[in-house]
Amino acid sequence: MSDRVPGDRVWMRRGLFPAAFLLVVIGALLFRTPDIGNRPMHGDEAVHAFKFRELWKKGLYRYDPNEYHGPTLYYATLPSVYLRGRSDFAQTRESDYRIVIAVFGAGLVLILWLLSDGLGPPATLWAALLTAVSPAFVFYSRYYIQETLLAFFTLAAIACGWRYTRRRSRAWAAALGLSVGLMAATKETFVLAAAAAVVGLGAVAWSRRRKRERLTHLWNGKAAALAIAAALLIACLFLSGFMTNPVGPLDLLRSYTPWITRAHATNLHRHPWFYYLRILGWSRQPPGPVWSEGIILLLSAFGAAGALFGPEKWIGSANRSLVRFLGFYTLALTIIYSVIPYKTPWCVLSFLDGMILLAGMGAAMLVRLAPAGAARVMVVVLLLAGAGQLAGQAYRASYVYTTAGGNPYVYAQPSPDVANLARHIETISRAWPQRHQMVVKVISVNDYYWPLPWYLREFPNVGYWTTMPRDPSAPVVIASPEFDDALTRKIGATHLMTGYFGLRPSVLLEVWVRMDVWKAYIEQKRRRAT
Amino acid sequence: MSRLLSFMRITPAARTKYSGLPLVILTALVVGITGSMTPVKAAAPEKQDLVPLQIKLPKPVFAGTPADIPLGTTVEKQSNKPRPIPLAPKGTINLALHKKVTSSKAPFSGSLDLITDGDKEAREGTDVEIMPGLQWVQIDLGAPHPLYYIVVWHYHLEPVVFHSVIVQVSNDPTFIDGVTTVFNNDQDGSAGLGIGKDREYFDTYEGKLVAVKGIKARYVRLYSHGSTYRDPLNRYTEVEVYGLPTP
Repeated sequence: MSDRVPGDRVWMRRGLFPAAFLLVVIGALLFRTPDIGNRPMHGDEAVHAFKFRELWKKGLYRYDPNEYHGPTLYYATLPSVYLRGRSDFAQTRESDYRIVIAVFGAGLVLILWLLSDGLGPPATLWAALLTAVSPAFVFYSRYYIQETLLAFFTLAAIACGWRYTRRRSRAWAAALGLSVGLMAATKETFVLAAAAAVVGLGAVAWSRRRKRERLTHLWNGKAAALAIAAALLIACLFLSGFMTNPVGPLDLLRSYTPWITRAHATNLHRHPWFYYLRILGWSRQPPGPVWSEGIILLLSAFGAAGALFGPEKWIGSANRSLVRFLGFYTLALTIIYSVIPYKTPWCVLSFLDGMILLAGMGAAMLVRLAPAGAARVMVVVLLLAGAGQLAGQAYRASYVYTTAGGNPYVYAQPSPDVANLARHIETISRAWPQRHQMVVKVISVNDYYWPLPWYLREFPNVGYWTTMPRDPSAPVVIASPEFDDALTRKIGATHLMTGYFGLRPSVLLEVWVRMDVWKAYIEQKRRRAT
Repeated sequence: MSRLLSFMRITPAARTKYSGLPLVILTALVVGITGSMTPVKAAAPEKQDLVPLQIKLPKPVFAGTPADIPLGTTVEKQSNKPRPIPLAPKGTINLALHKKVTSSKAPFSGSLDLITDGDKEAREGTDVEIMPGLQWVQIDLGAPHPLYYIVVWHYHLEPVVFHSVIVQVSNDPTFIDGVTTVFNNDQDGSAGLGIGKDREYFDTYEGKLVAVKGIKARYVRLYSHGSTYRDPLNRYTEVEVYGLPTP
């Protein structure tokens, strides 16, 4: 710990920093976990839940180079279902899956501790607070996809790398390797962060080229070999499903062919270069409220500029090389993600994390530069108010506008009506003697009927078609409206179309129920009412 | 009964003929007394009194049926043609304009007066959002009026189907006594207000036209239970209640 600034020493000596830091970590966890099943399962979340089922129930994981990313998400979910005493997939709830992500989301705050002597206690605290309340981080910490895990392992790699530079111990080199291996086993886009890290290291090396202490002193062949071995070992173990599918690691290399094609040669998820900056900077979809993480953008720009051009006293006890690395790494990663046409909003986490570290620096610098006394208190109050404003937005995104309201983090989100559809089928099944054994036929115009399988997971006899089957009749038929005419001809005399249900915006489903089942259901409702 | 009739000094033949008269008078008295509580079917207006009811429609923002919804759904047939102009007695006006609106829960966003402000365009700030679940809004027309049509625009910015749409009229502001349901598409009765026979429908710029058939009432209550939209809120852009102003 390089305590060059008296103010920073005070934080440490009085134990204020550990106490405040712990408070923020606990706060981050508490902010992410309540009512975690409040948003309908996204199609991607549902697919991952089914992929997890394969691992859980069959002990089987096969890496697919075309889809679904790596397996760390599924392995990380195993403790959750065990701890919650689930024995069957049908018993699992949204919260069983999302709680895993929430823990990693809070872990992102915790891991900042490892960087505290590089950023300085005040900057670390500000960065922790901003991570805890960032709307994007809170929202995607309640979302069963790989992105939060990737952000966690990436930050872990940076933190372990930083710790290695402090002591050059093999343990930290191995930890760095493990983190990189877990990044690779989480999502193929880990290479983008790796490329940005190379840019960041290159920038630091360039800035120190004329000084006595060059980066070459950090090189240690054994430590490097250990890090590489750890990375390869852990990545291979996970990607091969713990050696049940030895070609898994090779498939990771093969995966870049479809992913590169998808990134450039498809209109799916194609967005302009400023898409991410617009999400973070300013977005509004009338009549919804304004969304902005502009405070983080501004503070990070200030923090990066201070680290690059500011005098020593600006950055306090922070390590200038580390902040420089973070500055160039974040800039490079932001540019890389922005130039790739294929964009999904959760990808912001990768470079937003770097921005938040720099924003922590920026906030600490602002406080440091303010004259002691009332002015400094005012700056602190204003920064806390900014964090409060972010927390308000995070609450709005994760607890109020969970599916709409111009929430910029919502993407291809199923309508809450899909849960009504599930309840509708569930109550109708009560009129069927074998209850959940009731046959349900789903006839959809395409394969994009997810997350319907998640909502029908208690029904083992569900069939899916993308064309009209020869015999569509079943106690319950769920169909795209495109099949309405055909269904009317085939089952119109025996079934009742009981209503529309929204699957996604402007994508609806019809629910047809056989008359005898419907009559029994209505009769049952009447009896209960009396 | 015969004593009463003898007191009236009428002939035996007349006695037989008018033996049911006291009952009729009694019924009329009861109806008259409770008239302020029970909607009364107004006498059907003469055919020549009916004139086309001009309802000013907002601009359509999506054309006809949604792209992935073909014509001919069994819920409610979608039509490419404009709705036929309804007929109503001469002098029928929108009685709901600028009238007081209440709701089962305070709005999530917007204010209830948007429902009767006359602005039914599908754009920002013209609709009120009410919390999820089964909710109602209620319009107080100020006095009982013979009502002929109610037109509802929930939300017509994009194709949406609202669930459990129930429209009731009454002279009781609590909707306990003398309630007449004029529209109910809650087909499984999940709202607890009876099983509806009406069909679900897509909200369009034309609004949903509900015939009230001259029922005399002061209050109009409209229920809904979310929609197929991307959030579970209940929405109202405008409600118009067409009837004859009280003389």
